[in-house]
Amino acid sequence: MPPATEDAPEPVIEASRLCKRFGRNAVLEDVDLRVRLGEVVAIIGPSGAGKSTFLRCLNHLHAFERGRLRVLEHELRGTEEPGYARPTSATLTEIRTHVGMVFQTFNLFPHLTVLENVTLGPTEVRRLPRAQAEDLALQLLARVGLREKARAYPRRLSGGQQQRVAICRALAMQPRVLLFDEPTSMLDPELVGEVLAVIRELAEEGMTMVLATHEMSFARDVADTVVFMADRRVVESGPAVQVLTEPREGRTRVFLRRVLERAAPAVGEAAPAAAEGGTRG
Amino acid sequence: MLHRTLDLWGRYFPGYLRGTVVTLELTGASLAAALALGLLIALARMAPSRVLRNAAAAYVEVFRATPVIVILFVAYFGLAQMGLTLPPFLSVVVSLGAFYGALYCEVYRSGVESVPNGQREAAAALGLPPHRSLWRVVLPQAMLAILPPGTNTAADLLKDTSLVVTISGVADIMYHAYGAASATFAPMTMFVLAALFYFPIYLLLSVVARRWEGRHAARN
Repeated sequence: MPPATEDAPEPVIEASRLCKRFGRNAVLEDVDLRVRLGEVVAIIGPSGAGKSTFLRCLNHLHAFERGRLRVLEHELRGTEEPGYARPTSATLTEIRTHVGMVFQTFNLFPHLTVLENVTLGPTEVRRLPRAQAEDLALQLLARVGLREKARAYPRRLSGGQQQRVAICRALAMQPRVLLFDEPTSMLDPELVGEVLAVIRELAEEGMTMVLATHEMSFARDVADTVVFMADRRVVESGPAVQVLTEPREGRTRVFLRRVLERAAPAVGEAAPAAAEGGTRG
Repeated sequence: MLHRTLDLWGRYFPGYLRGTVVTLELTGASLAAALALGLLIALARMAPSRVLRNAAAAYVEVFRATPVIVILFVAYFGLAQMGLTLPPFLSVVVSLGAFYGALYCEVYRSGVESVPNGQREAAAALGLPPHRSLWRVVLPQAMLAILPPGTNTAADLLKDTSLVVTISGVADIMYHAYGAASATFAPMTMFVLAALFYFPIYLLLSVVARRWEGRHAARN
């Protein structure tokens, strides 16, 4: 984590010593994270490290037992912390309105058209008039090249198209932060690029994002900060290039070597290109 | 023989037809009660409160384990003894509503549980409160899993309305059949005619349900 400087923008998310259990299984132990306005943070690490669970704590899809979390102007405590109060539904709605989420499995609503998927949140939660919500949705769909699919049902779309719609659905809430939970892990390799291109464009526009990803070269290109998680903890975090090319911790080096080997089985030269599409699992 | 059968059928046809209207009324009212009660119990069974969940589960177990005719006799004869006299029609609606409400609770619940959790997560991540998520996201998808067993349950309810003959006072199809069988000493003729009157109602029910299912399937 880069030290806070005088002119650094305010953190929009600040997690300190977050601990989370499912029953008796600890899934997060003392996880810290600070995300500043406009920052792109990539969380990398092996499956089961706790990346997805951690993201779900940030918009409170999961409660956590210990530690503190500040999201925008809301302060949340672990359920076992002294002074814990269950967040009101108004607080949760407020947080989730401003912190959007894109899922690994897209989770589009299959009974609604693409347009209805994108307008559901704005009409239900932001109380936009239907016409205005539809205008906004069509603009967003046009940006990701899917305006002509507005009336289609999700199952008629490819995985890459579904994930782009899911990004529009999150953007339609006009969030201040976007969370991506391995957005390309379920995609066929040839569809990964179209989704990454949309995320890259959002990064260029200054959207604050936290993404759990296995796409190392994408993380290096797009992220400001990379956080390496393993075994329920943050092992190392810092500027993206530094963590990915000169990691301090042995555990990080081992992980990166394994990922790169799998991405480029034989030809060392092809590693960065292959890593873009082939580092799943 | 055939001539006598047709003659009897012709003579009693208008009575059976009036009985059909009553059977339809009984079915409609009881089904409405069962659907509404089932929804309430299902909501209680999935509520955050453990007390509510357990109470709902106990209700379902008790009523599923009790024969409908026992519930009907308790509602009609039992409650009357306690000073609460229900008219026969209402007794049927209450007892079928109570029994089939328990069955519908399970139909709804398995339907709702068939919707993947990712759908609820996606709705919650958009900021939808739980009741809006249930209404806009979960239930429309659950309908596909609710309709087929829901239709079967409704068909069973239709047939169980005939139990009203045991408490008398409601002139449904079975009441007219029973009366006609006693009066003509031709039980085979008159009860087979009753079966022929139930059949088209069942057919109508399943055709409507299948159409509705088709509409939901097309969207999912």
